[in-house]
Amino acid sequence: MKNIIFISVIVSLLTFGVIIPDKDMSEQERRPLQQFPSFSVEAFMEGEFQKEFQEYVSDQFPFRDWFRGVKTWINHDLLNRIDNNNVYIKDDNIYDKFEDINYDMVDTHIRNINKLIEQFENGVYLTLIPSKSYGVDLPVIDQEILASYISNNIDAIYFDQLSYYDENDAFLVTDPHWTQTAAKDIYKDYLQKHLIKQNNLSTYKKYMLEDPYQGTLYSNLGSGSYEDYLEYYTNDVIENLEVCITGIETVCQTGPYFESDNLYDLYLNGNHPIVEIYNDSVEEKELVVFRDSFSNAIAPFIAEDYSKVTLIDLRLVHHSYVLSEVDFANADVLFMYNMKTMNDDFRLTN
Amino acid sequence: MVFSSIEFIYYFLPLVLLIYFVVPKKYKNLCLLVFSLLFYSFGEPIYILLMLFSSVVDYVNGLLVEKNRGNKWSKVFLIVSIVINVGLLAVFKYLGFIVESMNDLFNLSIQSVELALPIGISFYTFQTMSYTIDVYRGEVKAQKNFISFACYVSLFPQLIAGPIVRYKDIAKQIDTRVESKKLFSEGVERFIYGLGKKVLIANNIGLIAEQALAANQTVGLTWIYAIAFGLQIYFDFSGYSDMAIGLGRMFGFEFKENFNYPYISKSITEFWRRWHMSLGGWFRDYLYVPLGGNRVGLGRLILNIMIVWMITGLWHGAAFNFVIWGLYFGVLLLIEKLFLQKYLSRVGFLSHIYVIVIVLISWVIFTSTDISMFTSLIQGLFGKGVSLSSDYTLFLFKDSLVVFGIAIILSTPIFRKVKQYKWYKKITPVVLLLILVASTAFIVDSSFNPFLYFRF
Repeated sequence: MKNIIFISVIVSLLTFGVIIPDKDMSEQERRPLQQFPSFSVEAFMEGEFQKEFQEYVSDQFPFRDWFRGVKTWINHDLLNRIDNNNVYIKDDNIYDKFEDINYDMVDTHIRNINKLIEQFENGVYLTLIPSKSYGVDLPVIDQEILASYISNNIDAIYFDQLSYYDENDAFLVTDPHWTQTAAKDIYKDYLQKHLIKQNNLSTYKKYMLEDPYQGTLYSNLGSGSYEDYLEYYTNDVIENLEVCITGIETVCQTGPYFESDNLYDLYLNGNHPIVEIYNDSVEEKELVVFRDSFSNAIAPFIAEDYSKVTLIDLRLVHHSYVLSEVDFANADVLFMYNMKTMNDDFRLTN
Repeated sequence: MVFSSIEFIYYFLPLVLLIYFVVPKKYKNLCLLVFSLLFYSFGEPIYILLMLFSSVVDYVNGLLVEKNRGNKWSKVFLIVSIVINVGLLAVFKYLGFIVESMNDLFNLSIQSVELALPIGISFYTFQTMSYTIDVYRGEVKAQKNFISFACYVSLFPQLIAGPIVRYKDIAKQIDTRVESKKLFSEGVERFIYGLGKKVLIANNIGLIAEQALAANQTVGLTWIYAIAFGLQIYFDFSGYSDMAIGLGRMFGFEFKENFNYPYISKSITEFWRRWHMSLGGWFRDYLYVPLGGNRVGLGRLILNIMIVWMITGLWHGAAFNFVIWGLYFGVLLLIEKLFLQKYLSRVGFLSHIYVIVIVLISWVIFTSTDISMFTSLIQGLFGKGVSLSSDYTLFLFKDSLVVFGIAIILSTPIFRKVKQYKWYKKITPVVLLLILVASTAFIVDSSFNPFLYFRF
């Protein structure tokens, strides 16, 4: 019996491995998968063939996602571990780890930002978005300490939004980003009052994408019934925003929402070096936002209050280009970063 | 290639089993040899030549030793074999260490050539040496057939991580072994248990050890680290030995046991009778006894024990911490031999605690890459200048409790007793299937490599 089971398992998985057509890409991993390596005596003697063959059989293993699900189930449900594949699972939510403050990295960003600030003449503001694990009982850093450290060292007026995260539904379940509802509420309830010194009320229609979204935290985990449905808010003003994305060339469209294979690109089509949003219902009020991917979801609400909002991602464009090409003369400047990005991503500023 | 990999379990193994059981008996050793070389080629293909060289040397020397039995040339060929094998080890494993130590000691600046360590060299050189020595001692006949001899040296089940299989133990099986369904089924069972030990327990608990070491140090985390590492190395190594023994049985070989629940020992002497038994036995028979063993004066006994344990330490790796690790055990074994052993047998459970603490400290020496890591870990264990606990300590403790519980229970013979029950025998095939699927899941998951920078 043991022999039959063992032989059937190894032979059938080998057979499936051979029969099932190889995949080119892994959607969860966002990377191309290894294909069957070409054989040559030279490649074999150097071990290259064997190395690629090992990658090939791992990448193309039949029912790979199912097996990964089994692994997470064993780890979380049987072995009772919160820590799974570099993310934490707690109360049906997935959290990224945030274990240490990287002061070297943060200091570099603070220096770069302060140098930039010297160039601006109008109002300069800073606001910091916490990472998802803020306020959750997990072994993560105290983000209030990091927020004070950054805000005390950057020469800008600081808008402290941390107190608006008392409920933990501000973030997507499968992704580190905030929901658009949370982004909207934080802007309308807090940031707006400080940025434009008034509280413009708007009404919105709320829509939701039909397809479920599984973000990068889910990719780490690879299994479970975790999914999000991305929501988006709109009204007449938002629908008529003119959005111009500058990459190699500039492309404009009306409205801030996009269709894409990667569902999260719904918001402003994902990350781009410079994005300009024009609103002809407002007169002569400009804002430049130095930002990371968190601003994609909040930008439509900010754009309601400005004639022009320019979003700049310094990971994709050098500051010298920005200073020469973007007009700061009549614009306030807002630095809006997620604290984990600031702590982890060395490319964030330059 | 390692056993706990997709390419081994789901490609290499079905293929070698199929061909092995199809080819006529006279080609079976050739089949194993070819597949063993293929198996080895997944490491450093070029070092196949080194292994073949070692095989040729001992094959020829074995024949010459036998041919010249009774005259002085017999000893000459034995010495040639030992010098070449030890020489291979010295060059490929210890050269960098020797040069570095010379530079440090004599303030020199000799350039060292950094050679990649040939996989399994410590195992196969010891095996081939034992062969020639046994032929010299007349304990076994020299192997006339080179294919059979090369098959013994390169036999993939025990090639890269032991156990150290002595030629005389499987000489008969090399030439005339009988594969059977019963033996095959025992092999399957043993292989899958070993796979589970390695993949489900050792790897998981290794991750906990890594996490404990990476966090800000506390006394609690240092103990979690030491215990986790102690369990990891046991399940890793004994799991690998189980897989080797299991694979051997599938092909009709009976390898000797390598581990026998070492953590239940009541003395360090007993621990070393239960831990990596094939290595301990090798050093006993081919080094300690020839040096005079126990039948010498106290001074010589001390020297013998220290030599054996210094070399045992060095066998584990070319670095000073392994020398210290070996000598640490040498001293303890000596103390036990001289007087402690008789007290240990009287103190009951305390002797278990003594063994665990001594062994955990030994693992700290074993894993310390430098003196500062060693001091920091020892200070951590005994609370010098380090806080007792932290939020993370408590988190990791709670998060790893079940894994620790399972590992500790399975490091005792409880499960061996469970295996005897009739009801367990009935469900064994299902248990094995579950372990195989679960292990596959963990192996598949470890190859998962998300590219997360696409969006941030």
